[in-house]
Amino acid sequence: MKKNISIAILFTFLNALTSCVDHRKNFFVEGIYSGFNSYNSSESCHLVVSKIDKDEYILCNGRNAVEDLVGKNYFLLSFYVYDEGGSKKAIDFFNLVDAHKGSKGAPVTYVDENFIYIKPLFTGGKNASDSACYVIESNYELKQQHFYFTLFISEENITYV
Amino acid sequence: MSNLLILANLLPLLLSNQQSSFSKLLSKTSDSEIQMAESNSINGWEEYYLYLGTKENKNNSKGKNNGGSGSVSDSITNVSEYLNNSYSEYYWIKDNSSCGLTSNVSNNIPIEMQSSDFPESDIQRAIQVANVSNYTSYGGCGPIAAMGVLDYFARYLGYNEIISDPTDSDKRVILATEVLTRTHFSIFGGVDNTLVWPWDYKSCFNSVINLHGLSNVISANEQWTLFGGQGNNYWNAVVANIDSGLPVTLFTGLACGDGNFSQHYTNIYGYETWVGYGNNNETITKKFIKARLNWGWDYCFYYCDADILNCGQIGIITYNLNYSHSYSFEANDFDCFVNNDGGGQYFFYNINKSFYLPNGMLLQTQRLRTSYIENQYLVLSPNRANAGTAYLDITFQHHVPYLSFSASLWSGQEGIFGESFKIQYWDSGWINHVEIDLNSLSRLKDYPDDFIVLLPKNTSRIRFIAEHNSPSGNRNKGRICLDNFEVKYN
Repeated sequence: MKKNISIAILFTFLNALTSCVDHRKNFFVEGIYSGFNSYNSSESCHLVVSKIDKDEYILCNGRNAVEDLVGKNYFLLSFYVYDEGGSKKAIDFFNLVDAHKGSKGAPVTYVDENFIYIKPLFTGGKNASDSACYVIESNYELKQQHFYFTLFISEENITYV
Repeated sequence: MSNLLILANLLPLLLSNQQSSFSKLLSKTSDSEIQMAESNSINGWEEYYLYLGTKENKNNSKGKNNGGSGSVSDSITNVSEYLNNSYSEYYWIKDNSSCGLTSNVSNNIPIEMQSSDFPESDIQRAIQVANVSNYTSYGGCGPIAAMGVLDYFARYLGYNEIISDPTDSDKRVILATEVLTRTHFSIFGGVDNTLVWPWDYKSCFNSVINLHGLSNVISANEQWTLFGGQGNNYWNAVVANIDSGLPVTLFTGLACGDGNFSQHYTNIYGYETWVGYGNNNETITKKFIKARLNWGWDYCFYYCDADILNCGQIGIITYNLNYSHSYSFEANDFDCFVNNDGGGQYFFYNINKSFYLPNGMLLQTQRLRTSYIENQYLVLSPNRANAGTAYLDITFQHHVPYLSFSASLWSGQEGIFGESFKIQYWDSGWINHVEIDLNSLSRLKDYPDDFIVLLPKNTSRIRFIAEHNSPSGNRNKGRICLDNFEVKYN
């Protein structure tokens, strides 16, 4: 009996010690989003996020597809950058994975094999304002396409794909 | 099953280190908390968490109808809405006399880390360069907060020794690497949930400062409580530091719920006080801190109920700016700002005047519509027909990173509608720095308000400037009195 009580207390203590707050509350939401490059305001972008099923995700073979680790869904991403003259360039994501390797200490960010990061900002409105929707940034070492886009819901009703 | 895995992982640690680790934690706290632990027979983690658990249940439930998860650590984006939802029986008004921002003093607030100012990709590069990926996958909120404060000192206060160009990604990576390589990551954290204790944060911060030769100028200090109940002390420390233009870093542990401010380091840069008026003329006061969450969320402002400062397992890191020299001067040191007859006069043209203070310091001044009046007051007067601008421009023999002074309106009838009052500094041209709200400035010239201004540290020329956008009349109005100057420098 005494042993059982000790184990119960130990479990209580362990739960307290290890029940860390999960700051991974941010998830993908379907829609069309747009934003400007913080490092070059003449560059704009559009992101189209479409929900797909697991089979479609597998068929994408890692290209422009992401497994939402918080919302537990799969999404197809279409990301376009427009330069000052309006020329459109598609930027592909390849094999997006969790940049934080499962850490609960910060909101989840996804990174692809070219070090392009995408972070959804939706949290369901419970803890943060969802005025902004996504951040997409490139590693500075990719100097040819150095960008930091904060994307909002697109006000234009345009089909980009 | 997951509990069994946790148990399997932690049991060796607990069996070997439990008592000694708790003793170490206890040794970092105050004598009164050590006595408290003794009087409550808290000798180890088990008793400690049982105590905190009981206390947490009492402290963390919030007002009714709060609309959130009900945790004291919830982030709040709209204080008015929050108060009206949580305490709907009161009518809420912000007490502007008990609010503050670092930008009131330095014209700036710390950057939001992981925004475009200091993006996550930089931190990820630094994790690789520092070779700490076995300790943290995202950098840890403590080290990231430290980077944000170091950036504040460099970017806004001119301490370029820390980082010569905060807009250069490579240099940011170097700074982040310096922080990460000097961080002691606690054994209780791990790559999945980085934990850095406040005293280790302080050591890291001061080590980086020392690396850049600034240990005599900038320093960090930490306060930490195991059991909580330090809300008033921490609030007072926050207010004092914000009013001095310096952010405060808040560490929160396991005892403050599950909101965004829980188990996190945030950089506090402001505080607000709100007063609620009830139907029976009773009033209540609610206080809030305003902080950077440092998750790249720079599209919103985030507050937290200041009750969080009363929780257990909380720490604050405050920062000091130290100066080796200081001196004061007063309005009557400007007694040469008179006309040829020795009387006060607001000239409509610029006048150069250099003079020595009693301590031998030279002030080189230029002034417009500024004079020494009634053998007592140093006054700027922009509101008069054909005027519109009044200034006092002072060049010092040395840098002026710190300036304090007092100011008031001459009276309550100065015609200040359309008038502004700013402090500028010279950097290849006049740069607007801090603006003082004339509507809240004292109207009693013998009881002026006090102000502190932190300037980029290589500043040596400053200007008080008052401008009126529709000057009129044939009397000198819009008058602002200045006095009780103090400068500090190294």
